Amino acid sequence: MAGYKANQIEAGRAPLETALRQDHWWLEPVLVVGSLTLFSIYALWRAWEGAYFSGLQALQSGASWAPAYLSPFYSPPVHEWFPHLAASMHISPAFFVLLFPLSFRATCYHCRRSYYRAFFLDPPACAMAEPCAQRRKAYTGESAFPFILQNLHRYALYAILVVVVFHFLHLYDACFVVHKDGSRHFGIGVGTLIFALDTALLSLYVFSCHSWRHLIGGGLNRMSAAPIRSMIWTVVSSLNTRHGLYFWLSLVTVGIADAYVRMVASGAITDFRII
Amino acid sequence: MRDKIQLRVYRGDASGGETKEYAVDTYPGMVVLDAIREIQASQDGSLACRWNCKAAKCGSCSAEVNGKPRLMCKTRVEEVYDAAGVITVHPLKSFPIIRDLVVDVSWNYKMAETIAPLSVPDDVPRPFRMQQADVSRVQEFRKCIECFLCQNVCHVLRDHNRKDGYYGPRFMVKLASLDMHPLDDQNRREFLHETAGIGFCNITKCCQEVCPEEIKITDNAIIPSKERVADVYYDPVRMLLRRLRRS
Repeated sequence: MAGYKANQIEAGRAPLETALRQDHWWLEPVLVVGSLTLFSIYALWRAWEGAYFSGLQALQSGASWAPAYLSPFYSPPVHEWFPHLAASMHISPAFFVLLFPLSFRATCYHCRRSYYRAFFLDPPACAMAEPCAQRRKAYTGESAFPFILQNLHRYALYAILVVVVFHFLHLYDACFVVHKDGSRHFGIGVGTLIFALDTALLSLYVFSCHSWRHLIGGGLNRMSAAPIRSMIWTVVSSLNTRHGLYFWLSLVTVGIADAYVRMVASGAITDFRII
Repeated sequence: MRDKIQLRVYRGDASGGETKEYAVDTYPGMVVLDAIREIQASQDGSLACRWNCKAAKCGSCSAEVNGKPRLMCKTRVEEVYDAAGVITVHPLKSFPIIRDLVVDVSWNYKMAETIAPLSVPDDVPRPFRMQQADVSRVQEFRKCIECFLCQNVCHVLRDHNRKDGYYGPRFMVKLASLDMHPLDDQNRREFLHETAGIGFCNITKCCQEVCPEEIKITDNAIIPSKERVADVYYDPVRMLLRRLRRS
């Protein structure tokens, strides 16, 4: 990787290359760019498609019953609340919904770490020279526009909490099948398990968030004066150590949940029933 | 493990120098600092290197081993030599060099002097009595040995040289330990925001990755401090509530 010498940054430093790592430092940025790009393309395509987001759509293609699955890309169900809004704006309802998780993930501390490294090469890896550091104007980080807006992460957190509630509601719905005559019966399918896994991992991701950790007790200096908040803070702190893992796992499961609903809704597969 | 390794060590100062190769015999448990001292003892006594405890507690022997900031006394040679048995040892690259592996880290001490020490109101009875639950959090920060590996790897200082605006991770830890202290009465958030430049940090967590004391610098010091600063400077609802309370 093109580097520069340390004394080009500041007089008096050693005249040595600043990028000398010989390990596989490039692997992480490559994986991050690849996975986030793939997910973004898939999510954009699914949002644009505006179809096959409800398991009940299988009824329209002649099935006698269908599971009450709703794709996480279309939850909360804006299309049910404002059926004419999206149509009048010629836009898929998913775009209204995706703003919530997108803003939360984009301002998430773990995601920021990943994309600053992988997409902005700022830096590409620890102790590896930034390719354009010398050509850039004065570095300002998150102290100036646009990245100063990252400080509003807590508002994205409030929004995603609503999404988590809806995930639980849709998990409850996923425990039922709807018959052609409109009757509902309890039943567990493979999709229910996928929804349960997705809801659990999204919850772990959201409730291990650094902003949540701060709001729940991180602002306290006297933990002994608020024992309940202190106890919750300790639990959240423990979850927080795996926040990055939950970020990636929940990203994968939300994609799998949507893909499964699409396959069921389009009639490509029939939901395998367990109960 | 190889019987012999080649050490490529920078010899020179700011005006110039070269990376010289030395062959060193190895033994079980040998660390990079042992190899450097072996060179000093038997091959070249003029090689300059700062070290003291050889137990990863004094923070003196910081260097860049194969391009990664590490304590030489905590780095086993068999973990870092390549297929040809070569290890490259360079001085820290974010600070002015004095000679060979010794750099001038005095900028850090100047920054430390600008941070007001713990300030406890006069009416708090001495000696201080605090509950463990109140101090557990800041005890982690007291593990810092001031090796300045975090300062060296921080790209704000290393690549952008913004020493004019950002204090660096070591002092984010110091300020967090004071701001979270149950007895401190100073306004650390204003200092963090206005003077120490916490906004410059874009939380790429390299400081945390290189910390030999395994302090969760970013997760436990910088991000919580960023959130505390956001409470004061970036949260419109809290700002409005504060204004309403005052009026």
